[in-house]
Order: sequence, then C-alpha cells, then structure tokens
Amino acid sequence: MKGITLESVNEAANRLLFDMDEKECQALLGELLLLRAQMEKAGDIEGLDSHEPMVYPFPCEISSLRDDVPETPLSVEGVIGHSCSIKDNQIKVPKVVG
Amino acid sequence: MSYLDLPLSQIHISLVQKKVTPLDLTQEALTRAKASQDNAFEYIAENEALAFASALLEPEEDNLLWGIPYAAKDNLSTKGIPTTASSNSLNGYVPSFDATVIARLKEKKAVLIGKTTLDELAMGGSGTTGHKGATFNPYDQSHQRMIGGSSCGSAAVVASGIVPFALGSDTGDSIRKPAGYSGIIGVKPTWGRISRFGLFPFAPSMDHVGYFTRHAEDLPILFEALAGPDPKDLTCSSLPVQNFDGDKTFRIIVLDDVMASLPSGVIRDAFEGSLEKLEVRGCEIVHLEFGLDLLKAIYPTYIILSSAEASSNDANIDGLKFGPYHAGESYQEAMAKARSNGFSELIRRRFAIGSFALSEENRETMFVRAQRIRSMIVERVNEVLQKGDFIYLPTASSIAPLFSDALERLPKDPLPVNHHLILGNFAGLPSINMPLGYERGMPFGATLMGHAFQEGPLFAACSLLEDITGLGGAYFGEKD
Repeated sequence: MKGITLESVNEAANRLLFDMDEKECQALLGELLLLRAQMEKAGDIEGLDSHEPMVYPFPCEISSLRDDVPETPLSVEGVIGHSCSIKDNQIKVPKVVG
Repeated sequence: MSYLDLPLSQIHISLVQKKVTPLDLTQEALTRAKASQDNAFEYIAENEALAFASALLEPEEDNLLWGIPYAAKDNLSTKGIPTTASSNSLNGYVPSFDATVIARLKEKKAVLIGKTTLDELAMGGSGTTGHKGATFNPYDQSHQRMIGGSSCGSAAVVASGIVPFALGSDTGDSIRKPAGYSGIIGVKPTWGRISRFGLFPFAPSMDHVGYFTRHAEDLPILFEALAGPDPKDLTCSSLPVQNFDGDKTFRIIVLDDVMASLPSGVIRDAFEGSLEKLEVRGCEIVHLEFGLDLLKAIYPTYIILSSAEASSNDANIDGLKFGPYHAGESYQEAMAKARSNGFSELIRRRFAIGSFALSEENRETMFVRAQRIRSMIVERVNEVLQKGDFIYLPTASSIAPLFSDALERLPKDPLPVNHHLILGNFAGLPSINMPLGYERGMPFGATLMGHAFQEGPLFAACSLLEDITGLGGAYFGEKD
C-alpha cells in the first residue's frame, strides 16, 4: 500500500476536481490512516482471500430487452425553463474547446 | 384525534364516506408543516398539493392511498418541483421527470405536500450536514438532540404527525436509525424490491428506497403500492409481492456478540423484556454469535465501498449538468469551482476516501479487500438466518445523541450495536425499525431483519411487536 501523506490526500482531491484546505486535508489524512489500519486488521480474518469480491447483493437477472416505447419528448419551453443561460430560445453552454 | 393520525385504512374509510376530503387532509397537513419548527422541509409544495387535492373529487374505493398526503425525501426526483438532495451543488435543479416511486404514488392519487431535508446527498447519519442546517428531533423541543440521518426530514414529518407516511432512502441505516431515534416505523425493503429510478444515487450496490409510517398495518399497503418491477430500473426485481397470512410464531435470532456492546440500562431492559413477551406469544428465541472480527469490520468496509461508489456516481454533479454554474478559464476550472463550492467538507472527504481506495496503488488492499469482506459478511448473515426467521436487535446503543456529540468523524472502535443495520444493506435483506420504548422522553427502537424477498412475514412480525409494545400510531404532540 502506498504511504498516505498530505500530498497523496491532495492528489486524491484534485483527481475529483475540488479543493480542500489544510484543515480538511489533515482530517482526511487522519481518517485514511484509521481506515488503513482497520483494513489491515480485517485482512487477517481467516479465509478472507478465498472470498470473491462482492459487487451486488444478488445477481441482477436481466432476462429480456426492453421494448422501445414511443414517448413525447420534452417541449422546448420545458427544456429551456431549467436553464439559467438562454439565448435565442436555446441553451447557451460554456465554451469547453479551444 | 385528526383523521391524519389514523392508519391508512381508516383514513380511507373516512374519505370514501366523505366525512373528510383530500383537500381537508392536505390543508391540515400543510398547516402542520408550516407550523413545524424542526427544519424538516426543503420545500413545502403548497400550491402543487392544493391543486392536486382539489381535483380529487370521487373517492376510489379500492385505492387505499387515494387523497392521502405524504412527503418525500429530497433526493427523489419530482417533476416541476425542486430537488436538491440538500446540497448546494444542486441548488435550482428542477427535474423534468418523476422518480418511479413518485410516479406510482401520483397514479394512486396520494398528495405530495413537500420535499424533506437530508444529510447532503444522503451521506451522513446525523441529520446535520444538509445545506439548510440541522433537522431537529420533534421529541426534543430544546433542539439539542439530533434525529439522525440521512432521512432526517422524512422521519421528523412522520414523527411529528404532519403526514401519515413519507418516503426515504437507506444506504447504511438512513431510514431505520432516524426511525429508531424518533419512535416510528422505518422500512428498508429487499434490495431491488422498490425501483430506484429517479433517486440521486449514493452507493447503488447498497441504496434502497423505503418509507416511514406509524402503524404496522400500513406496511403492506405502502409496500404493494411501491414495490414491483420497473423497466426504467433493471436492478429492480420481477419477483411477485406475496401476502403473508401464516403462523405468527417465529424463530427470532439474537446476536449475542452485538448485544455485548449494548450498555446496561433502559434500552437493554426494554429489549430483553420484548424477548420475554415474544416468547409468551409463542416465538422461539435463538441466541447466536456472529463473529466479532466480522462485526468490527462492518463500518470501515461500509465507508470504503460507499465512498468509492459515491465518488464515481456523483462525478456528474459538476456545475455543468446540474446546479449553479461557476465561470472559469477552462471547463475543468469551472467544474472545480462548482464542486469546491457545492459540496460540504464531509462530502469532499467521503469522495476523497473513495478516490483513494479506488486508485491503482490502493485498490487491492482497500477497495477489493472491502468487497471480499462484504462477501464474507453476507455469507455469514445468510448462514445465521438459516437458523431462524429474523435477526432481532436494538437499533442503536442509546437514545438520539446530542448535536454536540455529532462529529461525523469515523469512530476508532465502532460499536457493533451501532452499525449492525449495515448488514441489511450489504446482504440486501429487508429490515424494519419498530418503536420499542422511551428513555427520558426520547424514543428508541429495535430492528427486525428477515430473508430476501420475504417482506410478508416481516410485516407480520412487526404487527406482533406493535401489539406487544402498544406503540402503534404514536407521535410527538398527539392529541387524544
């Protein structure tokens, strides 16, 4: 397991696209160290490695494909009514390329 | 006594006999909602509810939910009504669709009177981390004690008699724990029983939609209305909902190593008293050990798995698709500003824990190990349940804690009695808190957990327990 440091805590926050101040990072560091210790202890439980990782409590049995059902799309008014930035009856989105 | 205080079947009779109308009930519920001092509502849908109720003129005799007011946790999408999940990151979001459970209740002509507060994005168990501040426990008028979370608002509106029932969600104990702290019934069904379409996800492998009520006889009525397959949620089971009218003498399992972490006092005495009464009613009590090493692993495993799922699921809350937009030089900067300003400290910490556990260097020793522990715990739960019908335990070690003790920090040595409810989320098993008694005027409860997709016997056991405690219908401030 990689060492847990303030730097690695900051990296984790940056990967998620938000900032954390030093106090928050310290609190998080403490929690991660505690979790690591608890998981190391749990790793000693006999027979653990023979268990397959569990994703869902039950198998999701999807036995059929859903039929296409024609639906009435949202009205223009209904769509633009949810936007705070509208120009010429269209949603104005922020520039993301270039 | 108001019609709102009655079990659903009796309110229905009054509606069919036109002793009261949906509009009367809705107006009364709205009056109670506006008078409430518990900070339980994100949004009181007064105009929408009055318009909906006014249109309900001819009672539907076979529809027990016709004209009944209710409230819904604000992480369930409601068409045309703001849905914030109590997070600044979703301020101003008005869904263009209804969650399936909202749509089903709308079809039943139940009247939504408001959206209730929660711990931000349903993470947290104190009812203090939502963007509107703490929600108060109606039983503590000094506002010093929490009601618990994350479904704090829904618990508060049922516990204070505003509505007969409310919707919530439960990923670790978010319905059952606040139900225990506020003296009402809190239901988490089997995983996949009730559609989650339209629920803002926290950790989908453990998320459940459920409900609160005050009468055990309401349990199957609400279950029948809400459960069943949904083409919009492919994790939703197609197994039929079955009624139960079998023998009510159950084999009830008590986990002694969980009980060992419960201090002596009023709660222990009441719980042991309920065991004696269950035996008198013909039930057999079976004492078993779960395994302390697995019990101690429940909470850290839960934090790692739920945080990992949440950090991935909530990546779409970025200020572009939802919530307030924050301008930046690049879209990354805009997202970072939106997420830094939109999420509270607790949420940022949870996301960071998830990201950390999922990173390549920690994945095997944290995330995958947690998945293996979950598998082992679930295997043990199912093994234990082979010895009986239900696992029965106190819901928590104490009455609702003081706000001054609500740190929302990870405990160093988690008490099994405070975290065993997570077993139901790991294994997807149906689990219900029932009111058990009071200590210094504050309620406490006990939880029954049964076999997967066997809600019927569980409801029957809840009725039996309600008979024993005599607490059916209780709420704070009730009038004779």
